[in-house]
Amino acid sequence: MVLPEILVFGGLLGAVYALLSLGFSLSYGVARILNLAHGSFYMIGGYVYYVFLTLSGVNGVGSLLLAVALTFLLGIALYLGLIRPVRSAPVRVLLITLSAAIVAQEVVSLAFGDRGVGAPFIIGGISAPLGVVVENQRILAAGVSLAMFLSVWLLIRTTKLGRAVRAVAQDAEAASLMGINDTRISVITLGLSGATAGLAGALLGPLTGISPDAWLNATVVAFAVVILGGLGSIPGTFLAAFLVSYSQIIVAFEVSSSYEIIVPLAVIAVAVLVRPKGLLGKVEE
Amino acid sequence: MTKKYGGLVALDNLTFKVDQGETVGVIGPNGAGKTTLFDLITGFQHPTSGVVMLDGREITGQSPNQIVQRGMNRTFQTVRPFKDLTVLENVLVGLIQGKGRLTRKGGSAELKDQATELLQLVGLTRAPLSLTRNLSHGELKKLELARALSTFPDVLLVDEVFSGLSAQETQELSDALIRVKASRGLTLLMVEHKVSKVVQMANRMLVLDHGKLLSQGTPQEILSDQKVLEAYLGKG
Amino acid sequence: MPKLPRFLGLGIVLALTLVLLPVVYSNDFALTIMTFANTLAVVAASWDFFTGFTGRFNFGQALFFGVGGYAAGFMNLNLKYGPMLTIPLAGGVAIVVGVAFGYPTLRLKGPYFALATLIFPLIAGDLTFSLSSVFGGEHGLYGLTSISDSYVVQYYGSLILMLATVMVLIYLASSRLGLALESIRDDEKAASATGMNVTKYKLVAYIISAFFTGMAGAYQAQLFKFVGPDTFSSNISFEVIAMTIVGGIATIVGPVLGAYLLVVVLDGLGVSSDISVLTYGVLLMAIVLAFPGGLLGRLKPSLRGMRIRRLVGGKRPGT
Repeated sequence: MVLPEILVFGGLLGAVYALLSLGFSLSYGVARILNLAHGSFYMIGGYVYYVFLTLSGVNGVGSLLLAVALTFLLGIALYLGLIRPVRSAPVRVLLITLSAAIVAQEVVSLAFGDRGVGAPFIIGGISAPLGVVVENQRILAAGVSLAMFLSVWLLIRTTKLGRAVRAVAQDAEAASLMGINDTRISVITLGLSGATAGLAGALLGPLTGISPDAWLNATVVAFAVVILGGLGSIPGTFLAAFLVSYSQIIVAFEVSSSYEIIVPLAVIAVAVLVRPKGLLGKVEE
Repeated sequence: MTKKYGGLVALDNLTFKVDQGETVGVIGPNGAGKTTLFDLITGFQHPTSGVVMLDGREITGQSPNQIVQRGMNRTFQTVRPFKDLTVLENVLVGLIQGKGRLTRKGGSAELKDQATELLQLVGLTRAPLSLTRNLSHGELKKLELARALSTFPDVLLVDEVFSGLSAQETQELSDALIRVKASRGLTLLMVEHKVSKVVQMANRMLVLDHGKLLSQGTPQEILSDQKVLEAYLGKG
Repeated sequence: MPKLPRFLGLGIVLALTLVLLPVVYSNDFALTIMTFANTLAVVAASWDFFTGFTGRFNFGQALFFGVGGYAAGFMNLNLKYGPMLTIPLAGGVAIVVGVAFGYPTLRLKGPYFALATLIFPLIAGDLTFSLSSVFGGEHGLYGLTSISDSYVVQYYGSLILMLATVMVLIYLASSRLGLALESIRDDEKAASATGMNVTKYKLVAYIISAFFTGMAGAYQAQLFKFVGPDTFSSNISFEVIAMTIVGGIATIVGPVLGAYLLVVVLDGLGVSSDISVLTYGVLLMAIVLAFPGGLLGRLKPSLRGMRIRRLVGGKRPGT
């Protein structure tokens, strides 16, 4: 186990995890929606990027933007079409988002096969921070993720819209009494949720390859991060993202990369048993 | 009994007794420990030290259902109806499970009669097959009382049973309570905020403050007790 | 009030249809599909009996399924018992396992119990690997006696099992036991204030659920002449949950319908696996959107009415 390797890879991965989980934190913390199809945005973002870049000849940045735009719209569509009608019953929300995820997986699988695709990088070449050899794409992914995460966080903290979002997260009933339109907030939250996860997928996809079943892994990671960091706490999500990424990298280095998935699962199990409120949780479970 | 939560002392060396047939009112400012007291007596919590005795036998540490079988039951401060069951079923559960063993072997006719009688006793006029979720707050309070009575307790603890009720609903419920006490020969222990009601109904009163027994005596004695007035008014 | 309760009338019609199925439609493939569906229907109905009525989520129903299968396999291979014996005995073994796992965990709070149920099948699955000399490890137990060489007989066997399970469970759900369980579901604290031992009742429901599921697992083992570690898979546990929610929770027959739907769509259409899963996903979405209480959710009041009639007799009790 070499420390610089772990530091660099864990850190770069953590940034992307933070972006991926941000949306989940928002949809659960604000709209109280447990969206099992959250990882599907990640998967679809990766595929959209791939399609536009390799099949439609759009350049890298353009494909990224298209991925974000499409997953943003998808998030809104998911909310309005499937989630809103059943919002009153959490079990139905779970089932309908699960079935949406399954349908998305199958559609993509039918269209592109179930092996997975690897899209070209936006920037090629390698760098060596801390003496560790890393693809530039990986650094780009982390950098863009970080920038996006901070932007959204700033949005929530400073703008009027952001304040409305926080109000709904604290007390939905009071917020609606104050005239905040719950539907508008939920739509925006889910849209942001989709867009951020989609961006994460488009950024990381070229590095790891994206397959139709990638949604499951992504959802589990997001779930673990949010539950560890505390529902409704964005700083918590940030912190937890790195905890999870570092744990995974360490496990991958020390044991075997096939055990990577155990980390977020174990996190979920332990967090539920030991501290249901997470590390920095503000919202009551 | 004493009840401590970590460093917090909820009840401090509280000792009192209730005689058969009495109506004892327990009052005190918020946070005085009244509901904790009920939880301790009925087995929903266990004292850090001390004992609870019923009918000369110790029941400390027993589970709530065991205590119910011994003849003591309670209502809850926030009503806890069985939301997805009908009014009738709410009452049937206790009739079947509780101390009224007759109904364990009893046939359907007997169950029906007992349930009907119980609902009439508390003054709940809703159709027995109504869904509980459609009931008003006042009706839910009556149902709560009926449910506590369905186990044929000898001792009944009512926890802020008049909270959230209009003047008329309060009158209906207190009439029902008096009726119930008389017809079933109950011993009643009431935690209540509406001091006027307690004064009306109780033989004896206990005043709690910050987990300690501040004073006890007849309503008249309590009303003129300086310490009590201070506790209510002085500390705000 | 109709002469026959809606529930009963519908049930009889459906039961007749199922009984006459092989006569009307003697396609071997269809029969095997329905046989398979019946075994899963039993698991789903049993799951519903526990979770639907006590409100405690059980994420590991596969535990009993696998236990039943392996118990039957073991007895069949080592004790030379035939299916007529292994199936009910496997149910008994499942009860014992249910007590062993349920007794310490049912007193835990909701999420903790649910998490525990998730882990149990994993433990059981692991055991088959560590005790691979007895349980065959990853190869499982094979070469079991078949139930019958005739698909028709296999089908009727599964149908008998399913109908028996459903009838018993409905009987129990509409009895004092069912009432006690639903009161636990609605409010455990208040339920204990009626004098009942809540944990005891939860345990009873749990082992009843275990019994029938164990028999289903045994039936399937004798059906395929094989049982492997897959029988503990979380896929099964989650499938029965989906079946029940689609069909209608706390209705007992809803899960049966859900099971038929899932098996027919996933295995019976004869199209590629992707399309089957896609179809099922879309169907699931449509049902969740259109049926708040599940496909047969509207039968719930009928079940309640049946129970009230049995408990207090007569038509309209009260003032």
